[in-house]
Amino acid sequence: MFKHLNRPIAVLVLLSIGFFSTSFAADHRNLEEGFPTRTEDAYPIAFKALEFQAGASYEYEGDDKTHVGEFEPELKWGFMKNAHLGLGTPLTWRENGDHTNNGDIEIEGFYNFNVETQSLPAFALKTSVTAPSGVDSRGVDFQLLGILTRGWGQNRLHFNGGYTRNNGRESGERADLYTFGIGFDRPIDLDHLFVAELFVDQAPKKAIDPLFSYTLGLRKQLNPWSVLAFGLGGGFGAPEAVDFKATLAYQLGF
Amino acid sequence: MWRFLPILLTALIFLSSCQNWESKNEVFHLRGAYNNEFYKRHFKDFQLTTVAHWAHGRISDVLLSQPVDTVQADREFYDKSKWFLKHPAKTEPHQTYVGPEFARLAWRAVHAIDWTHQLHEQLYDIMTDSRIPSSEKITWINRAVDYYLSEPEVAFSPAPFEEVIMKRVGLMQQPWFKSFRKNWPKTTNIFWAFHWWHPVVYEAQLLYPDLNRQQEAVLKIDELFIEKVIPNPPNRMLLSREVMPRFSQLAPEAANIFDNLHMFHGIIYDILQSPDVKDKRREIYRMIDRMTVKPGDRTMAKNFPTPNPDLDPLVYPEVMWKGGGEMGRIMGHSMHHRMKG
Repeated sequence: MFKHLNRPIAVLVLLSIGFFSTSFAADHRNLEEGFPTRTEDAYPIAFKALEFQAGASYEYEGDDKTHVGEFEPELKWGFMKNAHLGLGTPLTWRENGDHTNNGDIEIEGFYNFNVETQSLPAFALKTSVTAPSGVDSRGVDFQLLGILTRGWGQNRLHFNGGYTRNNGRESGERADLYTFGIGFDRPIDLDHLFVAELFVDQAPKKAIDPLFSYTLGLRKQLNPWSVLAFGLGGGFGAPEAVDFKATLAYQLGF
Repeated sequence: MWRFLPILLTALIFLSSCQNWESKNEVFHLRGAYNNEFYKRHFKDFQLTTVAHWAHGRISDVLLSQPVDTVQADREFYDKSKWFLKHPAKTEPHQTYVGPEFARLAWRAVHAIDWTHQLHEQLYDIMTDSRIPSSEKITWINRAVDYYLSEPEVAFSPAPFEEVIMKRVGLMQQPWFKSFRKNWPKTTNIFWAFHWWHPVVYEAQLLYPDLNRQQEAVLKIDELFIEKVIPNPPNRMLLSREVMPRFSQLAPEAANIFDNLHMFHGIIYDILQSPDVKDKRREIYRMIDRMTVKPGDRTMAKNFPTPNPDLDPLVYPEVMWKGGGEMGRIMGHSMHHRMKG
């Protein structure tokens, strides 16, 4: 898999893996993309915090009869109060040998406007830029995600509305893509959190119907500095929807 | 897409003018080689911390639910706390996790509590870490206290209880004073037991710097806590100077900060329980404004007596559960002054 990466990405991956040997203080309830759901809650990591996250997933795309494996290391830094920056790169293995976009670099900025109160939900905006550093990748893509978190009792709902500008598109692909998702979380006990979500995405190809996906998952706080997440899901709607997806992810605060 | 962005931003600017619009402003803990030493070396005691912080956070949501039968609710909460003592969590919960409704009501209060819990963890870690010689502990403690006080919006004052609670808060003149204790006596007992256990661990750590002996001492305190203190809890909120006299002399700022945190818990519960307080958020924030650090507070830190200077932290003497103690002395003094006035 690593032979498809350029040198800076390989360094990022190796540095990220190296952080497994250090410590401290994980963010148990802070929902983040890929851990194990796609849902983002409206809160960033704390100011001055550093967080490393690595998620491995397996997908089966029934329409193409293809097995897909993905590993995504990501580093986050709380560079100011209520905001963080993130740097990650998805590394994908496809059974059919298609490595397009493998090793693109994603840079994200996240800003939380407010904390949830009795009368107001919490609001946040996340922007991300995907640089075409990966295999056969074209154009700089831009994403904007609006996030709203609202809770009652120990339950929380999260609304994610996203827009992607698909600059590296091929013929027959949409220039503008929209996503909408609802996520839910609830503590099981002090060490475990249940998470679930339902998303609908516009498919990049114009001829394809919207893609629906769902995930059910569990987050387990292992110790004060790390969290493990596990998720199972699938899709429906267009035939191109993912039939089955399993995710295992690890997060380390330090 | 871009047509909607100005509308979205305008809506956010409008919402930000709302009275209860508040930023989260969380800050990560201070990094040090000692981080998590307490968790690694005193795991059983760490687990008791999770129960203490669960109880302190959870009761706020229980009070907000306004139980009709407080006698029954008090007994149920007490029983649940005792159950948790036998089945503690492995990791420490944030207050938002166990008291989410209270966090929505008064985020700054939750933030102040979690921020002070972080200081508490820092000092436990420093006192545990055998790589830090006894003579250098205070340097690291002061570093942690400096970091704590660098967030004055949520950092409790390092000035003594007499200055912060009696003078600035005017505890005994507040209409809500004692409303929790009167209605929730069993739960109050649990909290007063925790306020013995929390500081006495510091005293043992100071007296037993050798890690093996420290681990034995802390385990003995945990046994004492379950077997003697929970069944026969202190009859008042103990102050740091009574329970950890030597540590209070070593680190008076930290000792006062913890006293002010402990009293802040009680103040929150009084306000939530009291039917006289209609706008609970406003009253809690008024108290935070009075209790957080002010210029000059650090110079007052050592202004308190040490009534039991030779206390053995591995015993639970009568002076802890009988008599007025420091709280009785301070309140009697305050009442005397008011009557004279």
